[in-house]
Amino acid sequence: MSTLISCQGINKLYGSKQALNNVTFELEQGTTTALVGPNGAGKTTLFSILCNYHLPSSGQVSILGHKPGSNALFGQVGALPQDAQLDPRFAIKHQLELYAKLQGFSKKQASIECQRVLDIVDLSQTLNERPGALSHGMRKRVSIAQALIGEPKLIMLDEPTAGLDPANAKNIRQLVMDLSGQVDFVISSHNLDELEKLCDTVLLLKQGQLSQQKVGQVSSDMSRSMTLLLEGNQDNAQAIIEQLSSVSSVEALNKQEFILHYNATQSPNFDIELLQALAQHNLNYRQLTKGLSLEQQLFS
Amino acid sequence: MNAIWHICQFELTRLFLTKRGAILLLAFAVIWLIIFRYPVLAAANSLSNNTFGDNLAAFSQSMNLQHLIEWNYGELAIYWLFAVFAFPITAVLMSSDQLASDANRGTLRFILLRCSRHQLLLGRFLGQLFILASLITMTLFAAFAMGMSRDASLATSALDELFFVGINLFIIGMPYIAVTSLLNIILKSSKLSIVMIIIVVPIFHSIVSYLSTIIAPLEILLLALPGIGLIDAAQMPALELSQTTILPVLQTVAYLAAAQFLLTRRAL
Repeated sequence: MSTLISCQGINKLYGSKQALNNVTFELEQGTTTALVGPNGAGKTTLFSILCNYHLPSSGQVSILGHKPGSNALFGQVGALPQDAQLDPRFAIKHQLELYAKLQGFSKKQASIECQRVLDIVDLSQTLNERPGALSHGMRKRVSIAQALIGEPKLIMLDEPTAGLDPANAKNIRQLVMDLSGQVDFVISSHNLDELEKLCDTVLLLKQGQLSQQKVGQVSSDMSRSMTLLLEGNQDNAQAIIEQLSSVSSVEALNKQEFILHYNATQSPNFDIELLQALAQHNLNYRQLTKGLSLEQQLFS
Repeated sequence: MNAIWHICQFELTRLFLTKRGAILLLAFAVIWLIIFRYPVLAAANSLSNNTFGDNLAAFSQSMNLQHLIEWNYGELAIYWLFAVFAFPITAVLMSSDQLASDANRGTLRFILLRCSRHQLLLGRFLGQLFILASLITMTLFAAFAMGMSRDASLATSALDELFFVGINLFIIGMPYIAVTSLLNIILKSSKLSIVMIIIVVPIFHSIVSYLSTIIAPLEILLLALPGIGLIDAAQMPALELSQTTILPVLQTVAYLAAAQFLLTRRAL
């Protein structure tokens, strides 16, 4: 498998403030990667360096074997930059066609491509509208459409669902899921539930430093823990779960949610045993997840 | 080259297909209609009047503009005197927002996924040059048509003057567009770019001119300012490769090189 993105010793200084501190990581092709971290951690800075909007103060960046901004990457990398907007004075069709033509499409092909990407985000009826005539959510989807022009190999999305209503956010998530496998994604977001569904690799930035590169779903720790979410407050639930012989410990996150650590060798079918025990004691559950949630993995 | 051409074409639609562009064009047309209707027409009639023409010749000589009296079409001569000062301002106003708004809005981020900063800068500059050329052509032919309507027999011999005026106006306008590109990158604002060129540059020019009377070598600083040879250009008798013609070209290259240097290093 070849390298999708390689960052070696990236530093970025804004005056005396160090936004990125010796960030080093490598991503392979065929991955969907989450870029997470608190506000001001350097996510957008790293995103901007990958897109060649900012230059690193030092360090080496390579995308698909080329420097960001190289001619070879035009059309290979799509992006949804945070807060970037289309020109309000021109129709969407006019602008998307320009982008397609810049990627090498002929006038006729550009028109077809423009229609195709707007169809994907379910906005083909807005072709001749100006961006100002669209809602925030629709403008975001049009911006995502521009990232799809020319079927790039890598698409970077900075806060793709921020400010969207649940239905539109779900559509965007579905779109990413549908395209996964054909396209590699790097997604920066604060929505960990969303990232957990979409991504198999996580880059965690804290104060400009990359503190964790990969959270696999089958790590040894995860194979020995489960996250259980019950319906309503059920006071005796923890005691009942602790009675199971293979359970080594139960950690109550709140009155409804528990992390269970168990001996997988002793109970290879622990999930079935657990569900049977819950049924016997009339405990209704809402969700049972293998391993820890992304939030638990990153921030507990 | 394709990317530069596509960006250039898009700039043309910015003027001819947007509301802002239409308003600018309308304002431009009204101003030039007034110029043609009153000063150009009146002055051309005066030039063809022998008695008044003698007085005007004496006046022109005192302004070092006597060669204009000899032009076949007085309309073109008067047009030239207005245009040589009007088109630099027009070029600044028309090209004042080459990069600033798009950079502030983030639109450049979409474009830069598909072309280099160099292509963007050059494409937009060339687009503005085309716009300038089209505006010069339209008004220039209007002046020529006015002359022809008065005396069509002089049309062939006036072609030299037509060519001289067109080329010179184009060359004079170039550094204004290039310096606007540069100021858009430095100031990140189209309005500030206009203010800088129309107000700050003349003030700077006056200060340097005054200081150079005390410290002569300072005069070289004036070469960096656009429009430094405008009066010389107005007095130029014919198209020639003099400082008046070459300096704007050199300034254009220098401004674009500086703009390119800054743009490749600027966070967008």
